[in-house]
Amino acid sequence: MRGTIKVFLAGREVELPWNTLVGELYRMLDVSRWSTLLLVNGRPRADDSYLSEGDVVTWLRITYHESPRERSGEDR
Amino acid sequence: MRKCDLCGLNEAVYTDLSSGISICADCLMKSVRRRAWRVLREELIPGDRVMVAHSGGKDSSLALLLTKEFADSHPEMKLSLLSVTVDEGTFYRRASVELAKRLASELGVRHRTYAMEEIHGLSIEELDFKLPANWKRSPCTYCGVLRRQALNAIAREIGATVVVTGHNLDDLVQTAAMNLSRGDINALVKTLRHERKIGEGLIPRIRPLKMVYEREVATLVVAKGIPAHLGKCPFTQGMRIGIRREIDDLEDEIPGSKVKALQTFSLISNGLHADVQLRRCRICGEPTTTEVCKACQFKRELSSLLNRDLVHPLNLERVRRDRDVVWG
Repeated sequence: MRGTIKVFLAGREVELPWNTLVGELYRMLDVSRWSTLLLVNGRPRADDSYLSEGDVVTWLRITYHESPRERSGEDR
Repeated sequence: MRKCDLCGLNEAVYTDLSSGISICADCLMKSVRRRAWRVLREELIPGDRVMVAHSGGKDSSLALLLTKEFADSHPEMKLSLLSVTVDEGTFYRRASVELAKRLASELGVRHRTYAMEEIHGLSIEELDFKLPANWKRSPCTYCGVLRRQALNAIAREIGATVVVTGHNLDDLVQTAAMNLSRGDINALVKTLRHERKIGEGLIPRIRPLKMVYEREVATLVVAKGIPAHLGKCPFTQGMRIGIRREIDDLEDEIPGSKVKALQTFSLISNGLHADVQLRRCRICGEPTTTEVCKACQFKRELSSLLNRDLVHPLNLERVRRDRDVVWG
C-alpha cells in the first residue's frame, strides 16, 4: 500500500499523502486560490488532479491578496 | 493524468467549482471566448475604431487577443484595432511594455506607447521616490486617476470610437461593491452599464472579460503561453484589497457568487438613474463632473511636493500626430 509521495514545493522536498489533490494544497499552504495559481511542473492543473512522486510545485501570485497568515505578519 | 471532462482528450488545467467540472486549456479558451465575444457582439458597432488599453498584463493581453480574433472572424463589421500602452514609468511596467509590443506584433495589431511623464508631466516612480512615508495618499491612488484620464484623452485624440479594457469579473464585482459601500450610485451605474453616448469627450468602454474570472484569465495565459506580464503591481494598496478578500471568501463559501453578484448589481444599475452632469475641467479641459477634475486636483496637490507646476492641460501632441497613421 502506498503511503506518501515526495514532491518539491517551492524548492524544498516535502512528503505528502499519496492521494493529495492539487486543490488541497491551497488549504495546506494557506493561500487563496483567487490570488495564487499553483503550477505543477510549470503548468496549471485542475484542483482534482492528484500529485505524483517527484512533481515540482511552484506558485504564481495573480493578484495582491493577504492570507490570514500574511495578515498577522507571520513569515511563510 | 486527469483528463478534461468536456473533450476527454487533454489534461485538465482548471476546475470550475460552481459546476464541479475540470477542463483543459482548449475547452477553457472556448468557454472564455464565448463569453467575451457575446459582450463584443452586443456592444461593438460596425466600423468601430477600437483602441485596446493594453498594459501588457494578463487581462488586457487576453482582451486584445480575443478582440483581434473577433475582428478577424467578423470581417463584415469592418473593425479597426489599435493597442495602446500608457507607461506609468515604473520598473514594474517596463517588462510589461515589451510584452505588450510583442503580443501586438504577433497578432498584427498596431501598437503605441505613451508615457505618463510625457502626458501628465510626472511618472509614478518619481512619486514613489518623493512621497513622504506618511503622505495621505499612495502612488496607486494617483496612478489610477491619471492613467484613466490619459487613456480616455488618448482614445479621443487618436480617433477611437470605443476603448476595450481588460477588466475581469473579479475587478467589476469589487468595484461595484466599493461603489455601493461608498453610496456612489453614479459610479455604480457608470461601472456596469455600457452606453455609447456618455458625454462629450468621453469614449465608451467595453469590457469583454466582464464575465470571466481572473483565475480563468491567469490559467489561460500560462497554459497557452500568451505573452503577458504576470507580476503584481508593487504599489497596490487601499480599500480594494479588503473588499477583494471578503468577496473571495464568499466565493469559496458559495461558488458562483461573483457571477450572481455582478448580474444582480447590473440589474439594479439598469433601474437607476445616474445624475451625471458632465462639463469641462476649468484647468485642463478634460471631461469631469466637477469644476476642476480629480487629476488636476491631484496634480495641484503634487506640484508643491515636486517643486514644479503640474497643473496644465495634457500634452497630447504626439497622440494627435499619430491619429492619421495608426488606423491604416
